[in-house]
Amino acid sequence: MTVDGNTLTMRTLALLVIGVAILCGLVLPQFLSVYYLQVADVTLINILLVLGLNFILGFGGQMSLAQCAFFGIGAYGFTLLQAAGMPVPVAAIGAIAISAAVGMALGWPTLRLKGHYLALCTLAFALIVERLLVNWEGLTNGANGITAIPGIGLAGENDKMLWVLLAIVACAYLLQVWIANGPLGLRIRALRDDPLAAQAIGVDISRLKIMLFVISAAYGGLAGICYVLLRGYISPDVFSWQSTFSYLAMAVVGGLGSPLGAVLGAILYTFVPELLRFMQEYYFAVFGVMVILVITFFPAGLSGLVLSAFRSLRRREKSYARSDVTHHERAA
Amino acid sequence: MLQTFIQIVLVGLAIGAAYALVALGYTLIWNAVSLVNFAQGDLVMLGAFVSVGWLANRLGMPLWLNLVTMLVILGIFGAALAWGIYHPLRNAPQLSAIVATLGLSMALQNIAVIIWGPQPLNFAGPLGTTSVQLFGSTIYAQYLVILAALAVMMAIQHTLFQHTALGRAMRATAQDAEAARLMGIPTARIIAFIFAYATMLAALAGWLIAPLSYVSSDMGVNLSLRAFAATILGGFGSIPGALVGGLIFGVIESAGSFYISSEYIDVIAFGVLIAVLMFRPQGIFGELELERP
Repeated sequence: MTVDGNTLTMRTLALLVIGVAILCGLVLPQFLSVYYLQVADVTLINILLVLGLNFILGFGGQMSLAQCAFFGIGAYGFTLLQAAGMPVPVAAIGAIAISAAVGMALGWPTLRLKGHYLALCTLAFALIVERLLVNWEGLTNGANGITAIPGIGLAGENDKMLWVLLAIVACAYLLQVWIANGPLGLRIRALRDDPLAAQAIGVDISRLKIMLFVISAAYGGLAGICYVLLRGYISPDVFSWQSTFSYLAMAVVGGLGSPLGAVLGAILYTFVPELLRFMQEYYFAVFGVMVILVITFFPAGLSGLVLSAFRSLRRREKSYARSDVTHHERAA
Repeated sequence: MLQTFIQIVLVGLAIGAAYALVALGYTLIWNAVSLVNFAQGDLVMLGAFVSVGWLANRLGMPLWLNLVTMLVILGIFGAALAWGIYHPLRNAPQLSAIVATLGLSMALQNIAVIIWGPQPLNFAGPLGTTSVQLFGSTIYAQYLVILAALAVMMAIQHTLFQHTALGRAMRATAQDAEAARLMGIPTARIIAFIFAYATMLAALAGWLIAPLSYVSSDMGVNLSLRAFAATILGGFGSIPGALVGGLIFGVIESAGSFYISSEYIDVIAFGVLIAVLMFRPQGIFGELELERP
C-alpha cells in the first residue's frame, strides 16, 4: 500500500496540505449554505476518525472496531472535564489523555488476539462503552445527552468551525504522514506484513501494537472534542457501536493505510450522499457493494487509483525522453 | 420463584437456540474456508423479509410452503455468496475477507430498506401470541417452536453429515480442502453448498424469531453479534460448541437481565465475553487456536 509522501518530500507535502486547507477555508463558505458547511465540518471530523483508524488498521493491520468508542470517550471526557470547571485546553488535553489511556487499557489485554477475535473483542468493547453512555445517567445524563456545552463558544458557527477543523485535520494529516514515513512507520508496516519476521529483526511488536491503539484512540478522542466544539450538545446515539462500520467503510473505500484515502473516503461517505439526498438508501447500498469490490479488486482503494494515475501521468511525461519504456512498464 | 426461574431458563434457551442456529452458520463456514461471515445476521434479516414481505404479504402462501420456498431462495442466495464474496477473496489476507463481509452486511441492510421499505413488518407466524402452561409457568408457544426447530435441525444435520455422501464430502472439505480435492471431491461445489446450508440456518432463525419481534432491516445486527459471541464462548470451529455456546449465552442474557439489571445486560454479557477471550480464547469446546496464515 502506498504512502502519499513517497513521491513528495515532507516539506512540499506540508505546503501542499496547508495550501489545500487554506483554499478550502476560503472557497467552501462562498459556495456552501450554512447546512452544507456543517456537513463539511462533520466530514472533517470523520477524516480525523478515519486517520485514527488508519494507524491501527491500515498501517498496523490490526482489526480494531472500537473507533466509535474513543470518539465517544473523547467527547464525553471533554464535556465533563469542562463542566468540572477546567479551562478548554486543559479539558482537551485531559480528554485526549483519557482516550489514549483507555486505548492502552484495551490494547494491552488484547495483545494475543488476532483477526476476527480482535474484531469481536473491540466491537464488544464499543458496545459496552455505548451502553455505559446510555445507562450511566449520573455521569452522562443518559439517552437525553448533554446540551448547551460551552466549548470554545463556536458551537453552531459552522464557518468559523471550518477553519478550526481544517487546522486540526491538516496537523493530524501531516503527523500521520510524518509517522508513516519515519522509522516508526517502517516498524508498523513490518508488523502488518509479517509479525513474525518483524519480531525476529528486533521489533517489539507488543509495544508497537499498544502504541497503535494509543495513537488511534488519541485521534478518536480528538475527533470527539471537535464534535463537541461543533455541535455544543452530545448524545450516545452519535457514538453507537454500529457507526464503527461506517468508519471502516470510509477507510477501505478511500484506501487502507493511506492518509489521502482517509480524506477521500470520508468525503465520499459523508459529503457526497448529502448532495445526493434523493437516493439515500441506494447510495449506501451501492457503498456497501463498493466496499466489497474495492477490497477484492483494488485493495489500495481510491487513493491508490488516484496516486497510480498521477504517477503514470508523470512517467508518461518522462517516457518521451526514454523511448525504450515498454507499455507494460508504463502501466505498472 | 421456581416458576419464574423455569420461565427465564426456557426463554433464555429459546433465544439461545436462535443464536445457536446463526452460530452454526459461522462455524460451518469457518471450518470450510476459514472465513468469518460478518453478514450472517443480515441473512437472518433477509430470510425474515423474504418470508414476510414477499411470500406471506404479497403472495399469501400457506406457512409451510412459505418456509420451504424461503429456504430454497436463501439457499440459492447463499451459494451465490460463495461465488461472489468468498471465491474472489479466497487467497486474500483474512482482513480483506472480514471487510468484504462487513461491506456485504451494509449493502444487504440498505437493499432491504429499498425493497421492503423503512417500516418494520409484522409476522404472526404459525401460532401468533398463543401461550402455553409449562411446569406452572406461562410462556409463548413460539419459544417452544424455536427449541423444537433447533432439535429437528440438529437431527437432520447429524444425518446429513454422518450418513450421506454429501455430508462426508462436506466434512472432508472442512478438514482439508486440498486433500479433498485431490481425492476427487468437487470442493468448489461443496463450499457453495456449505454456504447455502449456513445461509438457510440463519434464514430459519429469522423465520422463527420474526413472530417475537418486528421484521426490520437491522434485526440481524444484534443477533449476529450475540451469535458471534456464542460461537467464541463455545469454541470457534466446534459444532457442539456453537450449540452449547448459543444456549448458554441466551440463558446468561435472560437470567442476567432479570436478576441483575436489564439496562446493563449487554455490559455484563459482553464483559463475560471479553474475559473468555482473554483467559480461554479457545472457548468451552475449542482446541487451542493454531496460527492460520
